[in-house]
Amino acid sequence: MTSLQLLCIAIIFGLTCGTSAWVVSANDTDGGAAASIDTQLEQLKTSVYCYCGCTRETITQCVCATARLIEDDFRNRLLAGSSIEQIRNDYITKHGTQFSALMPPTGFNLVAYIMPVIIIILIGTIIFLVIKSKMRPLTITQPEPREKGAGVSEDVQKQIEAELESVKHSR
Amino acid sequence: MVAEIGHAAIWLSVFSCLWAIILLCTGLRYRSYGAIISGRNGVIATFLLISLATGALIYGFVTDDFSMKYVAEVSSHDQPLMYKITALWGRMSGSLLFWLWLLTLFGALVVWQNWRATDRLGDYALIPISTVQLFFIILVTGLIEGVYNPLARFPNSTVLPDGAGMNPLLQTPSMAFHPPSLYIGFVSLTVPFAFAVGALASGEKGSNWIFRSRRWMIASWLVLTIGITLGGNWAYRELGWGGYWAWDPVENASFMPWLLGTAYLHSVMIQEKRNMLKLWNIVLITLAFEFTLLGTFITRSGVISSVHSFAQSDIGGYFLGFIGFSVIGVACLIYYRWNDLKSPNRLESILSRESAFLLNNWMFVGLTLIILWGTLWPIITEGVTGNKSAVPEAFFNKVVVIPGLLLLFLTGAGPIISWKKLTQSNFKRMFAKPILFGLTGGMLMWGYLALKGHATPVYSVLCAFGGVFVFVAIFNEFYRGAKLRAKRGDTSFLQGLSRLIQRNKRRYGGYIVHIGIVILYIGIMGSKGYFLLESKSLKLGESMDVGAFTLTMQDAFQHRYSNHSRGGVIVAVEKDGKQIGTMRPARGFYDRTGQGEEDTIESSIRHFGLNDLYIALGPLPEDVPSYVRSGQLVPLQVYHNPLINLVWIGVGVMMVGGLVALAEKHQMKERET
Repeated sequence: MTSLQLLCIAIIFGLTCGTSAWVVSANDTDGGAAASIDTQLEQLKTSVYCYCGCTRETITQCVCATARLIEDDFRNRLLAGSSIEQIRNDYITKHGTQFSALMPPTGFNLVAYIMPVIIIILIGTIIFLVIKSKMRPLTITQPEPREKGAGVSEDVQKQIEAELESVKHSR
Repeated sequence: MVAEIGHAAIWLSVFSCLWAIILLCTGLRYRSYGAIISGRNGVIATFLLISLATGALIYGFVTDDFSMKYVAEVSSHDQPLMYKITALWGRMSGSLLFWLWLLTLFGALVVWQNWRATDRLGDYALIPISTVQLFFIILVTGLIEGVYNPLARFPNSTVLPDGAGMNPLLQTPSMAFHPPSLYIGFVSLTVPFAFAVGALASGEKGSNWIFRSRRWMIASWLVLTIGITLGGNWAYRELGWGGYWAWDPVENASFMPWLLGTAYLHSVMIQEKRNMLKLWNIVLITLAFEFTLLGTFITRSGVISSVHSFAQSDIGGYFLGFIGFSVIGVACLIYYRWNDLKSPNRLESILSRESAFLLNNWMFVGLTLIILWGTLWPIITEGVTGNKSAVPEAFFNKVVVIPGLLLLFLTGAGPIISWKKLTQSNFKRMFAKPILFGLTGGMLMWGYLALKGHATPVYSVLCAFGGVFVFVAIFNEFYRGAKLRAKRGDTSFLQGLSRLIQRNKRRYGGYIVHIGIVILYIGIMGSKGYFLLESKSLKLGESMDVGAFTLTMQDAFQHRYSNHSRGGVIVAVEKDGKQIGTMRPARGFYDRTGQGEEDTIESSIRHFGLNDLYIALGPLPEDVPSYVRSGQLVPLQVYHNPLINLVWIGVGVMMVGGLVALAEKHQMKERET
């Protein structure tokens, strides 16, 4: 089997499985609205860091007793009808912005997301300019004109001029 | 008495170091060989004195001398001998002394290596090395606020009955190797930097400094790779969150010099082959060196919270000052030698290996600055908005993924694209097959993940494409070369392969590293993208499901060790209805905790081929068996990490490649003789 045949089979396999999975997921309309308490709790647990002293571990990741207490508190508040945003905002207000595990690209956070793109473009521009300045020019440089008669003896020079004159007159 | 000798040795080293700097400068300026020799001896004397001081501190640990402040802070009677010795880098003062000792050792090695050299480049390089040494010596003398002399005793002849003990998190075998390997990697970067500065100072116009410091650079890169991986492995085993990399500021601090070092290792090849990018290479190695100091600043200053907070103090400002001093120094030298750094050669085409290396440098430097940006973001937000915000792992994952994938593609394209200009025939011959196989790999991955229920795994598909592309490209290089050698030498393919690698160890060692990178990428893709996490509290006899596994809590256990006890549960693991073994996650309860927590997570990891099943226990009282058997709930955190073992295997392959590349110089010597 050639590599091209192998590629064709892989493309058929990938396209068939990939598109069917995409169609299935597009038809799955049960999503967001009917999220269960467990799903909402999971969303909450991954959106804030535990304040127990561990460094940057979400409530889901942290295995300490504090994380379990926070989890219980979140569950109770969700059951009591509070929204995810409300509980999350209360948590951040109480413990500080450094305990937010989400960094949505809004407000000042947008700068954080834009800067990497700027960095890449800036360095890319510098490198492009370096490449451009280091590129061998495509035009062929003309050799410097020699001084009249340089390297040719006086006799030969006179002979050439005489021949040129005779050619001109013959025309 | 031994501590006093060590103390005196540190003070004497101030003078020996100053002696070395002054005599080397004078000797080189006035071409006095006697002064140069004396300066070299000063470097060796500094090494011997700092070795004496370090030996005195280790002696204090081994003999439990709790009249010494540092020993009392990080050691205790019942601490195992191995951890008494590793306590040397357990906190700030000791780790600075250890750093200094490595720096003086490397200074002495540079003297030894260059003793018979016919030029003075090695002597010029000793000046920046000694200057950095002087900075660290001043830090450990205890003169500076924020760090005390590690050999200092308590005032009024106070002797504590026992020490506080080392942070329990550090009492693991990987911690015996992770910090030293990182330090070796960081400190050895000083040597290529010093050679670059030496070349600038001496007016050396060629690439001699690159050849002279090449093995140092490869060794530094290799050890740094090992150090970073050991750190990841430590986090995986000890911190209980099932991962090995979380973009913690200190992880970033070690990763940034690695990225810059890798960029440098590639860009020097352009200078070697085409005598281009002289200035850029000096800038890159300077940046790599400065980022080691910046990393130390981030680790030690406490400006950013990190898992390494046990090593914090307020000496960050001194590091920042020294970074400024060294940057200005190098900038002045570059300005002074500006005309010598211009390259006569030109790029022939944008599609060439030179351009591929430039693109690679673009990505490496870009990634470094992006990571620096993310690391410093909490300080920036605090400065602008007044609120310190944390940067989640997801931010870094988002912003590094595209440059990372482009780098993966370049890992394969770089070695097969031709120098000067990529011709159509070269493209067809070298690129067609890897691209076709890459596309096949990508499509197969898409189909497989779709079958498993993952709808749009774009990055995974690109990673599979890149991985297969690189693998086929590199494999082709080995295959064609080995076949040709076998044909020419009339030998077997394997002998041809061996001869091929022998002939150009650096090149083929580098290719092996590239294969390791591919394996590492696949491991990262699997373990970061498709892990499963289940948290549940179980009573004795209860079960939980994680993917295809069923876990049942069977019993509990408790063991006593010299300075701690270890209590945990026995979990039976079943897969598809068949019991395949047991796992024993535990908590460690330490008698003395130093600056650390009372108990540690002793996660249990079981390998299933390339995948891991990982269990971490939540908090439990010290008598675990009675607690469990009384019918109480035990919190379990279970991860299924697919392909995670490819991460460690990938780094192993990278190490093999690095070692092959490191062997290059022997071969050059043989050729010369």
